[in-house]
Amino acid sequence: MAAATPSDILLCLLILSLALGVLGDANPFRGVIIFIVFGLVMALSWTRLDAPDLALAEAALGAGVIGVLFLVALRKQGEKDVSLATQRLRLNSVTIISGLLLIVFIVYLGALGVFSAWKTPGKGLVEPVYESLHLTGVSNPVTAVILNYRAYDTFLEIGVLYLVMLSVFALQPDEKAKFTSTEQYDRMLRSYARGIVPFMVLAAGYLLWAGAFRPGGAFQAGAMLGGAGILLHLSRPAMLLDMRGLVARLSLVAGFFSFCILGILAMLYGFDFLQWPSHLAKHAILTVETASTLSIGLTLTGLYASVERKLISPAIFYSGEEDNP
Amino acid sequence: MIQIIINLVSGGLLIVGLFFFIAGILALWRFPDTLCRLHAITKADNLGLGFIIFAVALQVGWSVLLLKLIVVYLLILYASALNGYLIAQYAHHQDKSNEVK
Amino acid sequence: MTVALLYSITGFLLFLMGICGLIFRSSLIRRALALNITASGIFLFIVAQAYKGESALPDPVPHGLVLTGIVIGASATALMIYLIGVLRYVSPGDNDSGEEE
Repeated sequence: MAAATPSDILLCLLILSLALGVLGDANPFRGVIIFIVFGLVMALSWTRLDAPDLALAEAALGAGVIGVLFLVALRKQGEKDVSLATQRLRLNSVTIISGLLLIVFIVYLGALGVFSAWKTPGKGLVEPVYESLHLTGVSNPVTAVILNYRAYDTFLEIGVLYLVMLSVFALQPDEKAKFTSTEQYDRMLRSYARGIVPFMVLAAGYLLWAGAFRPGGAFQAGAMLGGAGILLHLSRPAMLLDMRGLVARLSLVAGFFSFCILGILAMLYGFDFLQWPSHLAKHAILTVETASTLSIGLTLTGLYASVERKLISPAIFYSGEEDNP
Repeated sequence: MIQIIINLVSGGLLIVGLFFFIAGILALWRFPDTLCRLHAITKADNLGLGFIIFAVALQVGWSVLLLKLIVVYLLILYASALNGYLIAQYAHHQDKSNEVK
Repeated sequence: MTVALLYSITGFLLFLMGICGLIFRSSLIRRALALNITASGIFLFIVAQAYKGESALPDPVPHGLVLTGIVIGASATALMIYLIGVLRYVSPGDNDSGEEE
């Protein structure tokens, strides 16, 4: 087994101290900035652990999209911080006993896991995955795992994404008027977006295509598209806000529906649900990936747009004063 | 022989690039206000990154990867120029509104 | 100490820190951050177990699981932030008791 080098130890210490900064820093704004750096350093550690697919996803999502969302949340929140004041921890026999039990349980689980890494670890599923890789239609094993061997998981996961978007939609007011913005948006930002968004869409297409034989795939491409959408939204807010049009709705469900349709088609031809016949696997995976990329990109953009604009009408929840008149 | 010279030169370029990065971080840490910090770190970072890209390009040689490196550098220059502008403008507005108060 | 062991321990410590943050911080945004740190710890743990050494191929199955986990985590965080925004309207009286300035 490979022994840890000093740079490994440095990287781990850096990760831990950044996490401490995220949780411990008194200033929430600084906490969020440190969190973005934390995401980038995590991406570094994914590359160290031979997981470039994860590094791509983490850099785009963990550091990029989530960081922006947290920043927006802080700005919306202004000076005041929302907290559950009534839920402060009190020390009595129940909390102490359950806390001790929790600690014992966590330490037990962690020790079990660390022990399993310490004694010579097994081969895992490396051999079975590579043995039938030629039947999956792709040569990147991670893509083969998520879209062929375990397509069920990915199908349900796309469903979860769709559910998240639906629940955000459900909380929005039913406004008939189109959203128009009165704020002045920056010209430089707009010209930057105009220059860079085509490149981002191109890069998303490249990531999607490259996912078949090297690191990349639908999730990374979707994250890239989501980033492009957020940039567009930052420079021209009214443009992407309205997700109630037919095209937008169809694109939101495209990933989920393509899984359903192709899965049912496979069943009609005598295979199991989501079991791709090996000569058609490449086409099936490409179709599903393209649709999912579109859905993921649009979902991320829509989530950002919903968080960023104050689409929650206060009248629904609370008929009191509004905080930002 | 050639390889040794290339290694030496790219190592030297890496060190120069790191020096600029460290200088930029020092400025970010020690300088008094936003505009000063921004001024120092945008310049130092772009220069440092340029040296590092140059060092890596020497190792890569003539290939598609070189083209990718150049594209990455140009994209970063573009983005960092915009970033610097946006932060500076925000700081400027903050200053103005503080003076009005 | 092997690489897998080192990163497993780091992941475990991250998980613990995240749980502690979740329990002991009362700011909701901070709790959302703590949940993200917890998730990162779990991911690091899983991927460290998938690492099989310098020359060997890593196990792609955990990578696939963690990849989907990252995307789900991002969308769940977005939902959390949205719901925190909603909560401001539901409980306007509780706003003043944050621990931070």
